[in-house]
Amino acid sequence: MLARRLHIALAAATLLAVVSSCSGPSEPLTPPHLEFSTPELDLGTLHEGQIDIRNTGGQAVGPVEFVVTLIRDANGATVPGSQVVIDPAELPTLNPGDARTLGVWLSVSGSLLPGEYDAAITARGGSETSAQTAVRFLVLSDAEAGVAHIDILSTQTDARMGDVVALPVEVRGADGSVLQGVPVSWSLDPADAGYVGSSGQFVAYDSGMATLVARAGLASDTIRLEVRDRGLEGTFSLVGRAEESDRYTADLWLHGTVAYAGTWGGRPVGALINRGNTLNVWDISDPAAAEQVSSLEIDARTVNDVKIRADGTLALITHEGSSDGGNGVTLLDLANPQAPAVISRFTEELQSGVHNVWIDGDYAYLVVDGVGNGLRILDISEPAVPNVVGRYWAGSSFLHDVYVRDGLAFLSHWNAGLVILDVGNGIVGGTPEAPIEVSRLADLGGQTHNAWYWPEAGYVFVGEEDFGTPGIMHVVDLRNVREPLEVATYSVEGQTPHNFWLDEATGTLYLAWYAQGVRALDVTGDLLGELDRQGREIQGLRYSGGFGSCNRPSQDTCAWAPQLHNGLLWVSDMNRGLVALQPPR
Amino acid sequence: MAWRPVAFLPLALAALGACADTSPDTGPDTASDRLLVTSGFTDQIFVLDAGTGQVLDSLALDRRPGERDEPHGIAVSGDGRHFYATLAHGEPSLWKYETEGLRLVGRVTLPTYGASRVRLSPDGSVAAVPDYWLSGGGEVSRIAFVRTHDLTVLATPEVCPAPHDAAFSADGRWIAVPCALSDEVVLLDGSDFSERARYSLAGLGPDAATGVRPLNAAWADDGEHFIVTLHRGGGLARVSATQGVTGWSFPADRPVQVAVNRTSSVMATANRGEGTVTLSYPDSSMRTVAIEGAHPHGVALAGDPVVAYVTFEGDTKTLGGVVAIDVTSGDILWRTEVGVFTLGVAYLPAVSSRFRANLP
Repeated sequence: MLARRLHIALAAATLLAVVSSCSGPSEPLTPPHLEFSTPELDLGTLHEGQIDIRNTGGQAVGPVEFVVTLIRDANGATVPGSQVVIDPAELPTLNPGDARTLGVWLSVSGSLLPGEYDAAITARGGSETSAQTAVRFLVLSDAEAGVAHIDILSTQTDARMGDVVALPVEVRGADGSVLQGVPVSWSLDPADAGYVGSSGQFVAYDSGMATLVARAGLASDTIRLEVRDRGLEGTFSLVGRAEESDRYTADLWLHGTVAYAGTWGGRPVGALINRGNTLNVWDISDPAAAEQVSSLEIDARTVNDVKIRADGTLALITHEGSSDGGNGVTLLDLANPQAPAVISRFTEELQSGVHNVWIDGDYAYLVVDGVGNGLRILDISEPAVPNVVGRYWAGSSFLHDVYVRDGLAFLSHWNAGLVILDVGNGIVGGTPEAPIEVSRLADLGGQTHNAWYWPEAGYVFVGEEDFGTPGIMHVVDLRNVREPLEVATYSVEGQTPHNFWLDEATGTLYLAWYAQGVRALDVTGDLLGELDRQGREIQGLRYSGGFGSCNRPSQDTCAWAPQLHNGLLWVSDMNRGLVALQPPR
Repeated sequence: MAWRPVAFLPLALAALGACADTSPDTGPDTASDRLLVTSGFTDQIFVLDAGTGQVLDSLALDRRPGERDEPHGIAVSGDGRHFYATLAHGEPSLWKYETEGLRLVGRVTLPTYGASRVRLSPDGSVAAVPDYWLSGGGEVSRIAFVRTHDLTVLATPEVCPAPHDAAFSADGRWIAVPCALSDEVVLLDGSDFSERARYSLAGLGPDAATGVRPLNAAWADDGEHFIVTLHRGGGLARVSATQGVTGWSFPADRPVQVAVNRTSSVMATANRGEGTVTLSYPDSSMRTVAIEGAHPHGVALAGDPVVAYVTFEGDTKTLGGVVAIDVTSGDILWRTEVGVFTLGVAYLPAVSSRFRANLP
């Protein structure tokens, strides 16, 4: 049967190809033009539907990508943890006159409050054509009958921007009895004053007076809050630099009085293009006068990552694009921290390249490039003869980064999302030799790039590296490890994030944000909603980064990764090397 | 069994496609003929003047600017109107361009672990992309067959561990698949992609323990015989579609791509290990041409007189590039440094007059 179908398909395709290839000269073709079948798709209460997209132009267009905005409530606030899903999310191509039907539905984690919501879908055919449609849907309360009274059980009169305020409510029937499970909707005045989460938590986005009205059935109650500015102060100040202008700088790691950084890609310098085949080493005893003390060349076109074991005796660096095709990792002896010495190179099962690495005691967690490869866990107790003891792949997409803490491995698994493994935590009995998946959160917008777990607060900060939309930072509530839930986001206009570092003592998250520099974000307390609207950003610093391409329009700042070390924030910058900053707090 | 790698060469390749006047193999003697080469480490395709080697244009295939995506394979359709390229890393994908204006008109993510070369059926209706899953530990992987008109994935049959090439015979009847990690070559039926034969190449090399790692194939015009490069063994195997291996030799170090021109007057093999190109002729003579550039990789033959266009990857300190070799004399006609980890090469006839000019 399959063979017969293929014959038919091939015959049809052949006919099309022949007809196409034999057509003679023709009139100039009109450009491609995308159109949705309707300017507004009302999903009503069904929360699913269909819409057509058509190319009404005279030329093929592709790929056609569908970009969906975050869902906004009636107050205009985005709703974390829920999204509109388009299937397929991308069409390979649309020939002139062709149309495709798209499935549209809601992916809702947690409950949405009753009310109206909307989002926008943009179909993009490269830079040539785009089309937009709005998606609207309604969440109804089906338990409002009999509601006679609602009270907001809070006497709070003021709040600070960004702080989450609990606003419990009590709903009663006509007989005075308390009704349970009655959905409550909220309206704000002004409408953009903040966001109310599904459990009645409010977070303010602006200072001044905010009026919140809770409604259930025909009953309502009002609370007024005086919102004051978050009042954060502090600025970065430049302390010093560890310069690198011959190659693009990649990830960094600091230990003691030494800084190490990998190098990336090919950097044009005069007539040459210098490859990222080098580990650079600086003495940072005096951070204001860092001095390069050595460098180590390996067979690689990119040394994307370097990590030092906590005891400072051993380093791992990654190979991508090696000339011998082996790639893998090189293990370094740091008996002399300023002059790493090669102990061994390990390539088995790592030939497609290693992009990132994490060291946890006698185990190294390696990110192997490519779909189907995933994680390799290396026993490095004998660095001269490491061996693979554990493996994991999420079943789709590819692994990009790994972070290990408290026996949990946080896998940034690109379009498969955030995957959490037990590698010794005990929650499901996993070990480095036999990692076991605890949970995953796939709906993080795709392109899940990096993660940082803060066990004390119960949050994971997840980077979405998307140069198109662009990407944002997602905050995942992990107080229940088995049920991760997105609760907040943080975005910076025009750019996508890269790597993070958390100062847990002060609750300050440092985010490298490419051409938008390094951002210092206050992540103390409960986190909810859009953090970039809450006065939580202490400072976003764009510094003089020199010149380079960095694959971005900017010729200046190109922040790759931060690390807080001995009181200073060191930032690797692709164009400049390392930048040492006095943090803002 | 002794064998000279040119024994089949007098066989003529059949004319392909329904519109012979638009076939790409029309000769490189006009100034507007082009070469397309993939730069695996800068995520680009470069457009070169086939006559001079001058770099005319470039295309970015950079889905993830902070990561490497590795454009690898490239192929031009029989009518010269489209070309196709693969991205090997990230989620593997096949990209479709119009040659007129170098417009991207499609891209499909492939349901495979990797991607290496892209090959087109003789009528151009189907693209074949092998899943070169080198880190798969020897597990069987697939060939993705894609309908080029709308980039629909038609089939993804499991074939063998780490297939690197999927070359259609000139009549489209067969598809030869060298399997890098199992030392086999598998023949698929060009009509329904089902397996028709499987031949072992194990033991042909000088060191049976390391295997031969077959990588690429090139068909003779008889639709019966093809050549397979044995990368690790340093050799070439001649295979009959119906009888299996009929000969082999080990003339060079780590050959990668091999190509036979349409009149079978020459065969060219890029020898990555020793930095040479081997030219083989119908009279069984051979010529070895040294390449100034590390790691020769891709080969395209075109024109009358025939020119061999050979990419070299470069290494961790030097650029990649392309050389053009007069296959009659062995002279280097031009050499251009372009790209980093420069891999694939395809010849594009002068069907397009409008190229963007975005290079300085």
